[in-house]
Amino acid sequence: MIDKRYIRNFSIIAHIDHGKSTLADRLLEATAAVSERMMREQVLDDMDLERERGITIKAHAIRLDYKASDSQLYQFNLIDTPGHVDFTYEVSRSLAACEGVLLVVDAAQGVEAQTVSNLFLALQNNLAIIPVLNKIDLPSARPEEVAKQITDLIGCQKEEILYCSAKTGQGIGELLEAIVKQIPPPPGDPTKPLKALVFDSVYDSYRGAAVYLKIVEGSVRKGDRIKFFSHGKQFEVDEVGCRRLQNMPLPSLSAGEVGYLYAGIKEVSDTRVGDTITFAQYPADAPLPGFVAVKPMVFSGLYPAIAEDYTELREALEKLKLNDASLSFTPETSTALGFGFRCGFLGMLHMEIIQERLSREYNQTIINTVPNVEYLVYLKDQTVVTVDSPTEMPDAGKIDYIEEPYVDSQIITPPDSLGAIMRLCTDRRGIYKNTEYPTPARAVLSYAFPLSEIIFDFYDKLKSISRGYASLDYDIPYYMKSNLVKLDILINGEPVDALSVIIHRDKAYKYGASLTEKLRILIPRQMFEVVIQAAIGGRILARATVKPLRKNVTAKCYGGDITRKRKLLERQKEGKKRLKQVGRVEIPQEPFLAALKIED
Amino acid sequence: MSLSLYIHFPFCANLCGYCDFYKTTYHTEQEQIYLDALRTELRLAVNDVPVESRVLDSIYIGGGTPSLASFHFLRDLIDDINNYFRLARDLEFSFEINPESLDSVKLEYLKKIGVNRPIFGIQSFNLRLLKTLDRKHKLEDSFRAVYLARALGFANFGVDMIFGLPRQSAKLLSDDLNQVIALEPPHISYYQLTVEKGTPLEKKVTAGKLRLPDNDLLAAMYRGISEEMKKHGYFRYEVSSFARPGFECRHNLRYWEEGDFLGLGPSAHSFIGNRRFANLSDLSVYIQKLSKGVRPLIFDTDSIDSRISEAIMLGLRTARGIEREHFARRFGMPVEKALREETLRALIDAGFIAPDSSHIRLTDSGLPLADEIIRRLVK
Repeated sequence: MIDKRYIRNFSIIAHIDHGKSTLADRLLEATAAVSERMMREQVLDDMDLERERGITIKAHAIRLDYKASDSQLYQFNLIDTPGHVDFTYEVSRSLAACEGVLLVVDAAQGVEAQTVSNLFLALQNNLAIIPVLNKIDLPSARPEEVAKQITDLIGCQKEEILYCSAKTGQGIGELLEAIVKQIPPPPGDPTKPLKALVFDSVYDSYRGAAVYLKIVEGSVRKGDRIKFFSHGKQFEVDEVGCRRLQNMPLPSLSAGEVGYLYAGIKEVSDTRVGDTITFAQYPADAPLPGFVAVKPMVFSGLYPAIAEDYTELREALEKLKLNDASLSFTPETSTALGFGFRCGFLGMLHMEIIQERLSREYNQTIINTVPNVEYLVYLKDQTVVTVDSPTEMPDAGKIDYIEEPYVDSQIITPPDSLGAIMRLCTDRRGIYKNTEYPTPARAVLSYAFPLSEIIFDFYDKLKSISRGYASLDYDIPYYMKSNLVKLDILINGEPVDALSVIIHRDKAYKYGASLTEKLRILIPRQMFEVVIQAAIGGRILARATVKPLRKNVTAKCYGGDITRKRKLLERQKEGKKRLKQVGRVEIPQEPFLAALKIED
Repeated sequence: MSLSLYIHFPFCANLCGYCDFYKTTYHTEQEQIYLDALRTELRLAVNDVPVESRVLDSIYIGGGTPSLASFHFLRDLIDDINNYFRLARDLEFSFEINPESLDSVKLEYLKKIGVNRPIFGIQSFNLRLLKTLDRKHKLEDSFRAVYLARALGFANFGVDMIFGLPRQSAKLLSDDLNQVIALEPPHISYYQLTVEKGTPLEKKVTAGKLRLPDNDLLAAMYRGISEEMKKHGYFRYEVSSFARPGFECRHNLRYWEEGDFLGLGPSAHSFIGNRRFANLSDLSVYIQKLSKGVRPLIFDTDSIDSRISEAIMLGLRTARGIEREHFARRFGMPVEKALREETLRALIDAGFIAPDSSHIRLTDSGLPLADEIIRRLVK
């Protein structure tokens, strides 16, 4: 058992692209955890998708050995954190496993909202903070100015900031020493009953879930019978160890250490982030604080493009869920789209990742409905229903009022984009709180937003109007009353449930007009006139008409070449499987996909 | 049981950009080699036809440009046909002619060898439109061809027209219609231009160099053609076929009503004894195989579903429609069984389909939408 005086548990906090992964690579290299041959760019991100998007979706922990200038060998546990607003809670649990963080700021980009938000999380967890100014080798680096932002932000001295370039390796030696000197060793009593914090888990089809954990008190070893505080299920430990580049089994893990554990856990949903593991027979008296069962924030119907693929889609979702406890899905039927699933996601990014994985790994072509948040509907009979799908919205006559999730958010921007950003915020129903100027070059705008208004394309818009400089962060949602309506799209008088949305009354007309027009262009002409309407209850807001097709007949049945014409017919019949039937109207997939992408 | 015979003449003087029938540029030597192969194919094919079925109801020589064929090509071919088959007393013998490759001697010769239904590929009377089709004939060629047919005493002849040409307006179509009706041919085929995949025309259309009339204009053109034809005593007996009573093309009807037919030459199709097969669309392979005494055949599926789809698809293109009794006898079930019940009901309600006790047929408003209707209807 290692003396915990020589353990350092830490994370890296950085905005996307500020060099977190490259810095992690340098630390691995410098401590010789990775040989040159094994060194890929950004070793911590092991999913292709993460690599492509340059973000870390699943956090991992890696152990490094570092021989410090005091000749003592230290055990470093670098705990990686997801770098996106969708995963705030996961970040908070990863940070709860640390005693310190490296606050990495790009010397050219400066401090961004994401970084500020994670810094607050670190401060709340009483972590030691080592400010690191990265990318100082860049020609566009503004080290003086950004250093000032950092000192303003954490109230440290300018001299405490470490200057480095993860790319060139400059300053890495000093950083390693700072980790030893400035981050305290973990507290915790190894003689007490086991208390271990779960901060991540990864599914392994052979061994069950690999649980990543930090031992806060006590110790755990193979053969121990453990239980999870949140649901009480018990398991027997197969293996404990730490992760270097591969798993390295250890005899035990004890207070202060970070590592992994296998216990034949079949479902990752049993390994909830933030949960506490203790002994089954001699449990600790209370769990560690801070556990929250993660709830999906964004909901969308996922339907197979071809009805026959339903079973395959279900199997694919089941497999994804094995490794992703935050994904939820329940069967759902739509008159237009047939059998599918209502899926819950942590946020838009999470949704996009699931969609891409379904497409890439499971070869599924899917149609998804317009995503929405979860609403609380207060009925006149004093009951409250939770609605995560427009089709579940009760009749308007029964509704007293509706609440929707709001979030408090901070936008950090150079002041010259303020006007345009505030216009965007107003357009997104933002409630203005205040503006602060921590430095003359930066404004921090505080707004409360309906979650539904900022989860879609708000971030992209914000980036584009601020030429990439503004950044956004928001907190955990709360509910507030809102003037919401259900907007239906009717085709020849029949509502197309898959196109219904819940929307603010003030925005309904514009949305309805734009969607009906878009559908008019995308729905192919049929033998009959097709009338597309947008309606709230019985009131029609917008209307568009697809003229009937007047002629569609091949002029010539080529000599005796009947085969060719028949094969064309057969191909059309095959294509028909992809068409969705609304009454007599056949609708291809494009309008459904386009409805999702509607500009507002 | 009788048979129809199609012979493909795969040569043209120049290749038109819209056409995707199998053809190659005409050469005298090639024609001779082709003749030898064709005669071999005829000999081999006849062996597969039961003796009692070796009676021809109709012959159709198409192309390509069969009016380019030399006298001795035609003579040898007709001699062979006469040797192998009995010809029905009322044999219909159609022959496709490009107006510019016709003179009185040739037409007389065709008459002599038995052709009794020349078909003139006039397509349009507008030189500018003809140019977009790469057609080389002039206005006087068209008039002369029809004049010659009359002068030589052909009671039956046909004119092939095309509408929906690039830059064709309603006015230009109306001019064409008036011209063709003024010539009073007993039979008119009025095809809508189809932009076929891989043709030079398709490239021009895709590249935006040529613009076709839109769907509404095409529909109006088709309706206009149908109405004018009716007014002048022509009966629409199939999507694109108009005839004075008694002058329907028996050969084509056989395709649509699924009688037996034998096709010879590269790309030619056959339907004999409920089996569909075709020759490869490649002249050199055709010649090579036949020089070894092998027919270059590709067989289509034998599935009953395919035959049913075809019967519905073809039946609904004709004015008569699908004959219930014939369908039931052939497939052992009523035609409704092969159709989507709900769709059928909706289409009847909408006035696109008119069923009666003997037939199911498309109405005048249904026929222009035949493809759309068939796609929805076939199970």
